[in-house]
Amino acid sequence: MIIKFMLNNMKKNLDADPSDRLSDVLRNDFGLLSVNSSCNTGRCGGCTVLKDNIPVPACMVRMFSVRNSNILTYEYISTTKEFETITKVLKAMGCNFCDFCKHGKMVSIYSLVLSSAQLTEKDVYEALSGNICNCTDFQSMCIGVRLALNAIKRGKRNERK
Amino acid sequence: MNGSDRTTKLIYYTPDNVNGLLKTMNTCKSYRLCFDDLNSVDILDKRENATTPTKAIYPGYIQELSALKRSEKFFEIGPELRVNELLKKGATVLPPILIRALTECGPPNVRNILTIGGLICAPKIRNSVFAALSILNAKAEVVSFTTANLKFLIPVQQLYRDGYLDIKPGEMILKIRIPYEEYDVDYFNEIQDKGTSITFVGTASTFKSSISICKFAIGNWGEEIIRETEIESGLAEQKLPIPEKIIEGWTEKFVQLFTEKYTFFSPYVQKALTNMFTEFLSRL
Ligand code: FES
Ligand code: FES
Repeated sequence: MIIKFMLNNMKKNLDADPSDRLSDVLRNDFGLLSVNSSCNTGRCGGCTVLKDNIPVPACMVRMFSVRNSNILTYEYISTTKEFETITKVLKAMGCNFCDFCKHGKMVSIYSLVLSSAQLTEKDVYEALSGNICNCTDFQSMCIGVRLALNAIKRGKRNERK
Repeated sequence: MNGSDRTTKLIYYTPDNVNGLLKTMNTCKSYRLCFDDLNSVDILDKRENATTPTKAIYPGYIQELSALKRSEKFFEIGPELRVNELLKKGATVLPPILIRALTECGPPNVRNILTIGGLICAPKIRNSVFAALSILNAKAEVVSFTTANLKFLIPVQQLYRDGYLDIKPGEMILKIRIPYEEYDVDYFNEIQDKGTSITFVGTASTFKSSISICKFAIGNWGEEIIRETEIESGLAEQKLPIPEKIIEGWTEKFVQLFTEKYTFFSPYVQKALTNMFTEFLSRL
């Protein structure tokens, strides 16, 4: 079945098995190894990608539902200006994510920061509850995410001036 | 877009509108309805003696099926509406018990995929949301292609018979209709047991210091929703506040259910559910 969709802002026509998981296709057909498949049940968040700018676990998305949608993975997101700001701030807060969760978590944080005007601690906790991690201090991560949002907003205001 | 799956020989259909969907259903007597969250349900035509379908239908591209509409007496939810979208659009109108059940059904990235239709139809995940819909008197509007597109309403708990979804080939849920009703008490609690979750949901209304409506349901992963209308109607005339002794009496009746009817619950679950029931009563 030929499935047309956008991947990291580029048009793709893929002859894929409609029942394949998006995570497997991204890894095997496109070599996007940032998409970690581990639990395959939507519990760990390691495979998080943006589907039409909304974070979803790619392991729970079948290929038949990606027609005409835009999929953004960590590979694309990590080239954006906003990503740079987020990483800088998180690093300053002492948040160093491991390779298991880094990609999924950064995709979730990126989408949260870009889709919010203001963030409370609860918002951050809720948004990251789908990305399993027991080792990073949540408090510092929360402050980091909120500071990143402010920094991005400031950057945009300065650009406009 | 139609295509075939090389391994299982399933032919996929992804119709863009309800008419297309009904036409597709008409061409295949038995089919698999697929949802975004990897769940699917097989609608098999008994006359064909089919055991596995050869066709799969994904209704996720049909716009009409993902709307949230409000009318004077009820609101209608399209079965393909994503849970997170529903929570956003319906934050101010949905009954609090449903909001709670929807919020508890997974983390936000998973809720971006789950649909209300999937939560009702997929056997493994219907649980808290289904139980909440049941006590809210939700009804499913079903259209049947085989009877000249006739539409009819079924209470959600009657969608299942003997543990199976009782939707016949050629039928499709178009909307979930929930009547506007305000309740004074909402109760929601959940426990985990052996990897599955069991939910207790309850609502009640009071009038002139006595209970006017009292409803509760137990959602058990993959099983039918448990409703005990006898206890519900018994509680409905109770004066408030309920004396300790009466609460104990009802709790005893509730505990009896586990020895008579619901023997499949482990002692741990039985104890937890009993505590939830007592807590619900003491909140009235
Ligand atoms: S692999 Fe997708 S959420 Fe764990
Ligand atoms: S930092 Fe990766 S799991 Fe905690």
